[in-house]
Amino acid sequence: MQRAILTVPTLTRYCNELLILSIIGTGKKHGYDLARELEEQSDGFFGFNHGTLYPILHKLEKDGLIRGSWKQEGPRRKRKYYSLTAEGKKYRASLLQQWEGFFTHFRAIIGETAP
Amino acid sequence: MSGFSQDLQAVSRRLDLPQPRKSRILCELKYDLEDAYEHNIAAGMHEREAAESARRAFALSDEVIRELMRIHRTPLRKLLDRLPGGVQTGMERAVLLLMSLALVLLSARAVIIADFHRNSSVFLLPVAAIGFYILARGAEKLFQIHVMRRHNVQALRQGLFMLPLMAAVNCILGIGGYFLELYHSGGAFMSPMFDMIVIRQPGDPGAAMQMRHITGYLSRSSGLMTTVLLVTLLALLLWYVIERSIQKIEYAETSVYL
Repeated sequence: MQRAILTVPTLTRYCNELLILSIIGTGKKHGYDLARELEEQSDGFFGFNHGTLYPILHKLEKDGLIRGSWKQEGPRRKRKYYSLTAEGKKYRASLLQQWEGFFTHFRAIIGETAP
Repeated sequence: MSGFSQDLQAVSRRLDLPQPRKSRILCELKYDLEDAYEHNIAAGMHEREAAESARRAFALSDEVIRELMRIHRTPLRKLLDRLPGGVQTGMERAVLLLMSLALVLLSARAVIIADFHRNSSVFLLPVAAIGFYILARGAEKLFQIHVMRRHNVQALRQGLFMLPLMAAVNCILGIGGYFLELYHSGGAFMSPMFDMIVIRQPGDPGAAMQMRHITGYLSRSSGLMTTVLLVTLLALLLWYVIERSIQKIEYAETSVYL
């Protein structure tokens, strides 16, 4: 299994990965579904260009953390749905743990220095 | 045609990836764009506004395109991309040349060590030359498709007709050579065909000589015809495999824009 090492330069990457893995973890999603759910569930806080999702999704798929499968919808329409693999679930749990560690340390500092 | 065909074609031009990977990415983008458009229409936008909003939402920046190419590139392509442009072309040519040379040498060895080519027909050399040409041409196309993964359909089709054409030339040469050898073997003795057709009795002074001529002819012609058949089969097989691969690439490309 891949191991994410959460550091300041990798924050954005692992934040995006955790968000995407968490949304896909709730059921099979295609790109647009995913982008909408991210926006809706965060009340627009995580609103980003949908095009930037593809490299993240394809990288996760290449690493075996999610599985993309094509589904025929009607005679001329086929969609690529992503689902979480067993490896992806473990990776998501590991990421979550690291984010929790990050927030603990972050709050410890912010909490002490906050007015 | 999809309402986003031009956008997809623009992305396709920037996305330097082999098929079917490129078409899969374009297909995914196409239906996400259409979903976004339909969602915008349902939200009350006008058609033009809905399309523009979908385009903005799914705009692929140069950085995103570069990242997608990085993810989907083959290991060989990644290795070549690390080299400067000039070296790349030189290296690709060198690899192609080495592959062709290896194929030619292996084939030449196989032809030379075969027993039936020892007493060969004069037509065997041009037939073998055609065979090497077909091998080199086929290897070049297969290298482009499967190793370099450069899927420019027009460039791939260029010169492909030479494979069946050379197979036909090879057949004509082989059949022509077969009859000319027969004529030559018959004429070498007395009148054309005469000595091979007249059946001599054992003990006849010419019988041994006739038998040698017949055996020589059979040996030469069988070697020639075997090579002709092998070269023709190879040419047609290569042509079929390459043509099918190009058709798959074409199909993958057109399916995105329909």
